[in-house]
Amino acid sequence: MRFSVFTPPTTIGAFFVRVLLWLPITFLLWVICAPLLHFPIALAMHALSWIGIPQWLLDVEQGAQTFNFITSLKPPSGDDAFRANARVETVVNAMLYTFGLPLFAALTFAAWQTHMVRTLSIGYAVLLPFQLLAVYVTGLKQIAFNFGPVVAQQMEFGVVQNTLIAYTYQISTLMMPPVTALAVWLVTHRSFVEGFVRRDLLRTKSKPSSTPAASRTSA
Amino acid sequence: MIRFLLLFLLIQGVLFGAQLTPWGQEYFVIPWTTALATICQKIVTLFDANVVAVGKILRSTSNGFAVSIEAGCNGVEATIVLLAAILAFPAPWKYKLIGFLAGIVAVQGLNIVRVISLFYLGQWNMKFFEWAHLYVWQALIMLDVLIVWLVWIRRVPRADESADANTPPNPPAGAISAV
Repeated sequence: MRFSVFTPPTTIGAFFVRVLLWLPITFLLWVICAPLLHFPIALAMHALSWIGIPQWLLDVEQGAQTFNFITSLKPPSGDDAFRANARVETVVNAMLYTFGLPLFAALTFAAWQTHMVRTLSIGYAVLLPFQLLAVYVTGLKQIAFNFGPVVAQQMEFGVVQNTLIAYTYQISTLMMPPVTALAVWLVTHRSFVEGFVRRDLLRTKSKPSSTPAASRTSA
Repeated sequence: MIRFLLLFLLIQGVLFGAQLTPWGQEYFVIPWTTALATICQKIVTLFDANVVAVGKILRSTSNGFAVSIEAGCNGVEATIVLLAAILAFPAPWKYKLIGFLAGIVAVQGLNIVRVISLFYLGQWNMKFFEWAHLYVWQALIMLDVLIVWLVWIRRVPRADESADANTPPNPPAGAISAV
């Protein structure tokens, strides 16, 4: 029996094996292309800092796999270790929040359906806002919670904002990257998945069974 | 599809928020994680006696290397995702319960492999440990959730199948037309 990853799988097991075979390749491509893939996030971050959301965010610089948040916030002045014009900066590892992309790509290649380039483009575009949110919130969280009360006071965030940042950070870190990838893949591969499970996927109500024509005419 | 996705996200958000509360941490997450560390230690001692579990920490007594099972590595999030996917999908409650119980076994089984593999990977090479910890295993666990969910859906009777089972078969067309 011939096995090829370039044909659609017919069983869940075969699909699973293909995903495992594609994952190292997509992960490698993701690492190599990270600066390019993260570029739209960098543009959005620039825009946010330019608009002034939040006001103390001066700029966000893109590194190979990271984003450096530059703020106008001052570190505690009593500490001699800082220069007078020192300001708070923090680095966020963007890879932690974008690894859903290689997972989505591996799932897409494993399914091997038509229009894969289009599907990958859609997936990339849909995942971007979630990745942006995760990187942005992580930057805020690091500044709000990791630099002590002096810096936190300058941010002028209330309890609600801090709670929102903490919750969004948790969900962005622990769940969002893989879950959004799976959800987008499921939506873009609905008919493929239906083929596996042999049912009209996610149908909430059964269609009314067709009544014989004779009975309808007589009624 | 939209109903499923909205329900899925809602249940997930509520459960995730619940486990973040002090009550959720004290009565669910911490005991769960401690039990996970103990189970991992019991399994590891079958081939390596120099391992102890203290709370959520798995430690090697031979070289002092230790891993702490933190949020994201205890399988709680993956279990929440699976539970949300099963609850959001229209299926009889009996099937939902079976799916959830079997799913916990599948997800936590793989999670035990994750913790043990990371424990030894970290003793060998920290760079590989970081990669496997932060990216590879995260993806694999969610892939496991997807596969378990797909297998479960396949075993759930279709809505019309279960309806057919509960209603008597239609009489012949001729009989109806005579009424």
